Amino acid sequence: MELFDHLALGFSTALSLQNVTYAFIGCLLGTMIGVLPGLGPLATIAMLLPFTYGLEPIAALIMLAGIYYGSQYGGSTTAILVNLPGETSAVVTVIDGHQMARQGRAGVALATAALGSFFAGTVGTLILAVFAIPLTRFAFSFGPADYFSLMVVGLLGAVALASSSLIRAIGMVLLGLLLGLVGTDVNSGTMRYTFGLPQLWDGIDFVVVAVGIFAFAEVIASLENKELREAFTGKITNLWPTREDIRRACPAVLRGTAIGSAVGALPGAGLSLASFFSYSLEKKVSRRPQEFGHGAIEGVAGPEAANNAAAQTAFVPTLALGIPGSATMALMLGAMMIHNIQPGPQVMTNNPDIFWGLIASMWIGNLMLVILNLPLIGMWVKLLSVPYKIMFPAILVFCCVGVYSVQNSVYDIYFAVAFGVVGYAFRKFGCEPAPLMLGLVLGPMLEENFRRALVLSRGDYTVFFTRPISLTLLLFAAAMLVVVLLPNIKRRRNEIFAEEEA
Amino acid sequence: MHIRNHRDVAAGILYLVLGTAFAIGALNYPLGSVSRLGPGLFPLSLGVLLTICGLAVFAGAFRSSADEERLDRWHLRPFVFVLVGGALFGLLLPYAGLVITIMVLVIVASLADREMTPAVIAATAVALAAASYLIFIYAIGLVLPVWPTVFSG
Repeated sequence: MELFDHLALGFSTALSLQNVTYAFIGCLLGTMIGVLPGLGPLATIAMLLPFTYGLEPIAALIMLAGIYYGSQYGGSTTAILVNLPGETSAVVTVIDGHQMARQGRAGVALATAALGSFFAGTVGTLILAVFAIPLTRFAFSFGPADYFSLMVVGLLGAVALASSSLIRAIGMVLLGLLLGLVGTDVNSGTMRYTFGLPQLWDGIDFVVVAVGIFAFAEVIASLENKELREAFTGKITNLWPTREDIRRACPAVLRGTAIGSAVGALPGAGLSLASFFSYSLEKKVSRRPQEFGHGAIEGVAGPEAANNAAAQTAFVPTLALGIPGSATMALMLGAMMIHNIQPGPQVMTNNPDIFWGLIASMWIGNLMLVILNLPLIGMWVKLLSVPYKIMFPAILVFCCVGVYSVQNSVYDIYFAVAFGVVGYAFRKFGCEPAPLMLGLVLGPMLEENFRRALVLSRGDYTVFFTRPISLTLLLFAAAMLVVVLLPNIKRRRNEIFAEEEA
Repeated sequence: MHIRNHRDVAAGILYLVLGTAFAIGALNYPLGSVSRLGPGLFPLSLGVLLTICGLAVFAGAFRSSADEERLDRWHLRPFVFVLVGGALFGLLLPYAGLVITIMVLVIVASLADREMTPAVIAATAVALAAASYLIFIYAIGLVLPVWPTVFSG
């Protein structure tokens, strides 16, 4: 079996003592920062990037993957214990997870989340491994027009999922795309929007934007909303679910895994959609729907499994096509490029050890999360009880050092501060910044493929509608928009996001 | 006309201004021909679209169906001290080195939180400077100026 050879290669790369250590450090750091309320995966990954700079590409990627899982998972821990989601995909975990914690069942909720996530992660990784090869082969038949349309799908997906109004989210995507165009135009060498600053010739680095809009603005917002912070003071006593818990959680985990794996692989769909779907499905099929919102274990098991499965399969478009499906994936893609790996179909053929090593390390990362989160849960609880006034200066130090070390430039710090102002304004104006991030990374690629497609078709715009792959993708994008705009769904979407804000 | 949604007005104006600025800026670059697009066309189209979005969001604020929303108050204290701390970090790092710069950042940023006492601030500053030295310089080996240029010549 080809697949087993590949996996064997992957595991032999990932299981070297050095790489296992980096996977462990990555998960540890990711969880540590991800546990802090308000700091989602985006800010966490941007902050922790400098830790990977000194490493060789494969070790750096493995550590990055660890940071990614750690930050995802840390968000769930915070959601359960403190009633504050670290990120949108943990939003539904808050509903029942925190209720369980109030009933003194925090340990059970955490264990369910950890074990459910591990199972889902394992399945998700396998799916990624199985689909990677055929999808990469398929990707070689993609022309520029098809890539353009695929990115449109991804961007519209991010818009459809944003919790702000549709038109605002579209504005954020457009703004992100425009910011992505700053710098030297690859085709003509023209400097665009550089205002004579040589520091802008290479464009605005995504780490700079992420730290400014997410980390700086986040810290400011947390400082002004101190009264919202409900510190966790209780003790975690019992971790083990009862037999009844297991009986109720297992089917939810299975359904969550299936939903997450399917949804995560769609470009632009992402983790929050997976957990929302799973939560509403669990509520619908449950014989005790009245328990939801009051500590139903299915409400933790299903969405947590779903979002972790999606966290794996979200790598499918990123690794196989080089097109990130979400803002977080865009950041991972950018991080890979810092290490001179251009994700896309070539990676698998040119660097099979990196590709399969990364996939194997995903599974190892998931295993480590269980190890880190069950026995070490006491440590995270302690971390949550550290007062924010000591925590936030440390966050700022990490951010500044991280931004500076991207290219050893103090200008990047000034730009990040400027984006901090912008990010704070977005927050006050009710504009959700995640779509901007995706636009920023996709901007140059979108333009490049658009222009190349038109060169190849000699200026014929219909090329986007005559190529079957491109047409299918555009129809899918249109369908997605129509679905979101349907009055029925629109109302439900608002309900879901209203629940989230409540 | 009654403004129902103040956040829509603010967001609309933001999009409108930025969209127009990008679109006008794009006019400085050649638009090219259909089969060979110049560097100006793509940003021009995006800028125009963003302007349209801005108009739509702005207009929506006056609709009778718009939610009544006021702008949140800007809390200037954390806003100013956090960002000034960040800017000072950039300003000082090349001259004062990592250790001193981090202490300055921590002290300035700490002013963002009223509850900080001088003793806590000093302890946090020293601890973070020491920890950063150990982590970034000693363990990861990042190339950063560590001490003031006066000492290292």
